[in-house]
Amino acid sequence: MFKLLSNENMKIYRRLRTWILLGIILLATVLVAVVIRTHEQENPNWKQTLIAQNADLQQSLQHDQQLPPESRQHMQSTIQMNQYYIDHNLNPTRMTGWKFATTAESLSALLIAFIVVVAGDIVASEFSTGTIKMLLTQTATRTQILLSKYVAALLHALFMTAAMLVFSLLCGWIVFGMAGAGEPQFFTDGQGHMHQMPVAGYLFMHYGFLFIEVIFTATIAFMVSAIFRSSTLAITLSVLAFFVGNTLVAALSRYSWVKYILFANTDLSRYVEGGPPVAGMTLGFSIIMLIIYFVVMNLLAWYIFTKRDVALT
Amino acid sequence: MPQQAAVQIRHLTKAIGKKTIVDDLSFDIPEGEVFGFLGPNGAGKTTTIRMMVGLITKTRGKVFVYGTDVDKDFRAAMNRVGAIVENPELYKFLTGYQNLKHFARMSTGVGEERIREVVKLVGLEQRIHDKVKTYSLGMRQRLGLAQALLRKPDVLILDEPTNGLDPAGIRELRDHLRTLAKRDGVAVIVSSHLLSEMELMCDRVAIIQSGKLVDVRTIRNGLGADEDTEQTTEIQVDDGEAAVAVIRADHAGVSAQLQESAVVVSVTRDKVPEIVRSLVVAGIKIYAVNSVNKSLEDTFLEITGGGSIGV
Ligand SMILES: Nc1ncnc2c1ncn2[C@@H]1O[C@H](COP(=O)(O)OP(=O)(O)OP(=O)(O)O)[C@@H](O)[C@H]1O
Ligand SMILES: [Mg+2]
Repeated sequence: MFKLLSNENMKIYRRLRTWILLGIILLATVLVAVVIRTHEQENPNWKQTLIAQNADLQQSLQHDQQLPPESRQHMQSTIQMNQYYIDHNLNPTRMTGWKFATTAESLSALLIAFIVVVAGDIVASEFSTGTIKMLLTQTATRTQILLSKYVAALLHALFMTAAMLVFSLLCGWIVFGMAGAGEPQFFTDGQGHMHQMPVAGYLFMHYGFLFIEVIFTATIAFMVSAIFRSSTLAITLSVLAFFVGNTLVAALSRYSWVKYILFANTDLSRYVEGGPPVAGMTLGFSIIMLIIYFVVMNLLAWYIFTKRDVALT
Repeated sequence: MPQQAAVQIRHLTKAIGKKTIVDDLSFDIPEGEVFGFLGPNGAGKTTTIRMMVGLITKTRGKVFVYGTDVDKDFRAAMNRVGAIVENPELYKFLTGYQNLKHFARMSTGVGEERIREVVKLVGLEQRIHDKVKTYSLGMRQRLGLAQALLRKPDVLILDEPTNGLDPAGIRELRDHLRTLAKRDGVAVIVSSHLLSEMELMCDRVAIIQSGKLVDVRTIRNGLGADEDTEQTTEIQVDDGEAAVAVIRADHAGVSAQLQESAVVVSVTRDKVPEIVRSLVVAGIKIYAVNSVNKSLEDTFLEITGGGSIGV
């Protein structure tokens, strides 16, 4: 089994494409850093600005009695946050390497698209080149071959995600400095309460959640690849599913059935920040949904891959 | 059973929709034999091979490799089998060596040494570290063969192995397959639609037409020729009529006919030198002595119907 895995790894990493995709991600990260650096405007009077803003907010809170409670809460949170910056003499407009890395995480759409290219191709390409005949007439069973390919695809996804994290940190440190790992990152939860955690922790937490999304999108691509044996279909379908799925969930969030859609559950970070897409969803529910989807998708891929004829090419 | 067959095929059938592509094939292939599937395009040779190696399911029937049912214990059965199905498709972005390494990893007990051995065997030493995308068809065919030989298979299945090989390559392959069969007792199964090729390479040939087994024939003029059965021999001479007269006079019971400028006789192998000697003694000039297997050729041509594809 380990030998099969090293075969699959060899086939991924000996291909130029794999490195080109990684290169594009790294390039995009550098580009984001350059753009931020050149457009960065540090406000030297940031403290006065914050003090003035807080005074404004206090005014509104006291005089405007018609304010909805959510707005009130939000304003109070902002005041707290500003006060923290003022008290600790922390300039919120100053970019740090760590903050940059959290900003660069917005390149994750690109990352997911590229991971899907490899995951969606790993089974299908054997069919399109005809090498599947050679692969399946050795002594390994189809189950072993499919499993080794799936593990290789997930390892590649992990490699790409880790590479993006490491590289955006390196990039951030070089351009904006290494300091500031312990600076607080403020965020509001589903109920509108403000929380804070060190920016480094926040970054790693987000990458953890991102990896869950990556696993599921890669699994969709892998499944389509194993079932339809077409990389084009696998890549298009899963990228489409990822974007359309997420948009659809956002657009239809007033319907409660939306919570059964996979993409309503893949972004677990929303239980920490921003709240779930459909009211009343819980973390436990999402985890159960994810497990169900995971099992069903893999069973489907396995069943069809092991049973179907390898027809004439 | 006197001697266990290397491969047993029983009632092998493949139907897709209403069409039966392979229809109830049954035969045995003993160890040490080079066995041919002969049939026109679309006869079902590749389909049969695909079923044998588990690439497609069998509608009916079974395939045993040394008594192991391929469907029941795929790994054990395939451990004794090396195969190329249709063209040898390999990873183009890897070198020949990396390809072999890839397939060696999928087999137990195939080390670097064995890889070097097969590379030498198929004559690819010069190019083995080049990317496969730079290979010619014949070189890919050789690499495919190297892959099939990695595990030292007891059963070697090759679908149209001579496709793309140059004459020297075909000859090498033929000699090599015969050596494997005779020296190592490997059961070799090759498919082809070329009779001439099969005659030179095989001990026995199964003729397949539209998925049905038409005939299984022993090739009589090969290395494994049968000493006791008569074979047709064609003798090119300067004076055919005189030659026929000489043969009829000297060898009673031998049928000799004149066909164009050649005399055709039907005799056992050991009789051939005697006939030649009497012709020489009678002063007839002999230009060539060929043994032909007319009956096989006739059967095959009848089936293929002058080259049209049987559906
Ligand atoms: N997936 C399929 N669906 C329907 N018919 C098929 C399928 N695969 C093969 N056939 C048909 O089965 C028949 C046998 O095909 P096969 O490839 O086994 O022939 P072959 O003897 O190998 O021919 P060739 O000498 O051209 O290689 C052909 O008539 C082909 O059209
Ligand atoms: Mg064929």
